[in-house]
Amino acid sequence: MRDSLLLRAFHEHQWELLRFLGRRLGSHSLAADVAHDIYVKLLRTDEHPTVSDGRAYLFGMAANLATDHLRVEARRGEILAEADGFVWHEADELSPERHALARAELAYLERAIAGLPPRCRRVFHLNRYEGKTQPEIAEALGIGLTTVYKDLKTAIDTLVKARRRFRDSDGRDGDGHGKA
Amino acid sequence: MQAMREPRDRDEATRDVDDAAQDWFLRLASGEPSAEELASFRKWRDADPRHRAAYDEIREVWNGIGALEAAWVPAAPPRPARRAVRGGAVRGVAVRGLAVLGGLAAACAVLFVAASVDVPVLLRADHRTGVGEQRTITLPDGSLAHLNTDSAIALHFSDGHRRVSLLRGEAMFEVAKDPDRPFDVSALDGRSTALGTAFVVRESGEAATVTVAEGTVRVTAPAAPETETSGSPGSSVTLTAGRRVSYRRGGPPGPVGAADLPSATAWRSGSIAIDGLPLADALAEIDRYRPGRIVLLADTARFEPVTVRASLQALDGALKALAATHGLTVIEVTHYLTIIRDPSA
Repeated sequence: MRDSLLLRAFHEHQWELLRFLGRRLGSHSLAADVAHDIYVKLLRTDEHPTVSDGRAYLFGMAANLATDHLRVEARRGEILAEADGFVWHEADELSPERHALARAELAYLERAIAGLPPRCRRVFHLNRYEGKTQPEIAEALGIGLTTVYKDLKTAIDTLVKARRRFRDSDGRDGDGHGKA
Repeated sequence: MQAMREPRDRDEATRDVDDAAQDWFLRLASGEPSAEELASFRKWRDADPRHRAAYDEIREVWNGIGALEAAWVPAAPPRPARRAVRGGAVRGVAVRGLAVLGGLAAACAVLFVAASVDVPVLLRADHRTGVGEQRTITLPDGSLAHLNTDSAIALHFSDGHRRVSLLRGEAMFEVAKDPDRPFDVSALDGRSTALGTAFVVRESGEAATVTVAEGTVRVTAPAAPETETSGSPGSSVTLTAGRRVSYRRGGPPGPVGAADLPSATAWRSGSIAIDGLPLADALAEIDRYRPGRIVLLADTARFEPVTVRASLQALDGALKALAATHGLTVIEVTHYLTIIRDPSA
C-alpha cells in the first residue's frame, strides 16, 4: 500500500511541522504530541481530499489543531486558576506577611500541630508545603488514599478548632483589643 | 423557628458544615477538579452564609500557616535548650565591674572580675547582650523579648507555664497570648505576671522597676521561688498600661506611679531619654550603654536636674555636651575609662 500524498508530505515536512507547532504552542513536547495526533489522523483516514499542495494542507491542519489545543488548555487553565483561587490567597509580593496569622496565634497553632501524630503531620506537610497530590503522597509513604485523606482532614480540623479556641479566649482574659 | 433550636442540634449542624467545608477544601486543594465540580462547589458555598464562613475559615488558616512549616516535619531536631553564651559579651560584663584602674591593671582584672562576679549569670543566661548591644529574641511561644544593653535572661518554658528570669539589666516583653499558660518574669526576688501584654522590667542591682506599655501585669514581691506553685509570701499590685512600680530586694512593691512610656521605651527605638534626673544619675544612665565606666570626679549636687535626648549611636557626643554645659571636662583615660571632672575644683 502506497502512502497517501499527505502521509508522504508529513514524512517530508515533519521537522518544519514540529518547528511550526512548537512556535504556536510554546512547547516542544506539546508540539510533538499534536504532530503525533496529526499523523494518527492521516493514518486512519483512507480517503484524503484532493489537494494540490500537501505541505500547505498539513500546515493548515496543524494550525487548527494547535488552536483547539490552546482553547482546551485555556479552559483547563481557567478551571485550575479558579480552583487555585478557592484555596490560596493571592500572593502579595509587597507584604508577604499580610496573610500570615498573628504571632501569638501561630504559636498557639504550633502547639496544636505538635500534638498531631507524626504520620498525620508528614502527610499534611507533603500536601500543604510541598504541593504533592493525595495519590502522590499515598505512593510516597506506602499508605492508602483513604488514610491520606483522613490525615489531611484531621490536620485541617485540628487547625480550625485550635484557632477557634484561641479567638474565643479573646473576650475571657480582657485582652480583646490585641496588638496592632 | 431557627432560634428555638437545641444547642445539641446547633453543634451537630456546625459539625456537618465543617465536615462539608473540609471535604470541599481538600477536593479543590489537591488534584484537578472538573468544571462541574467547581460549579457544584459554588452552589454549595452560596447556599448558606455559614457554608461560606466555614470554608473561608479553612482557607485563612491554610494560607496563614506558611511560617509554621517546621512544626509539621516530625523528624525536626529538637531545639537546643540553651544557647552557647556569646564570647563577645564577656568583655562588657567584666569591665563594668572595674573601679578606677589603669589600662594595664584593667586588662589583668578583666578575667578575674568576670570569674568572680558574672559567671553565675553567664551560666544561667539563655540570651544576653553586651554593653551597648540591643537584641530582640523570639521566645519559643512567639513572644518577643527586647533586651537592652548589658542584659541577660534565662528561660523556663514548659507545657504549664512560661517563665523568664531577668538575670540583669532591662528587657521589654511583648507577650504572645496563650490562654493556657501564664507568662511570668522574675527579677531579683519579685515576679511579674503578664495578663496579655507588653511591659518592661529593669533591675539595677538593688531595685527592679516594672513598666507596663499594654495590657495588665501583676507584680508580686517578694515572690515564692519558681519551684513552688502556690503561696506567695509577698504582696501584689496590678498594673495597667502606663503605670509603673518598683521594688527592692526583699521588699514589697512600692507605690504605683505614672510611667513616662516614651522615655521608658526610648531604647527600643535606639535612643536614650532622660527626664529631670540629677546629673550623677543621668551620667549613670548613659554609662549603661557604653563599654567601660564613667567616673565622676566632681560635686554635682549643686547642678539642676538634666534632660537628655540622644541617639545611642552618639552617646560620646552627648556625654561631652552634657559635661560642657556644666563646665566639666571629659577625659578619656582608656577606651574603657572616662573621667569627668570639674576643672575648677
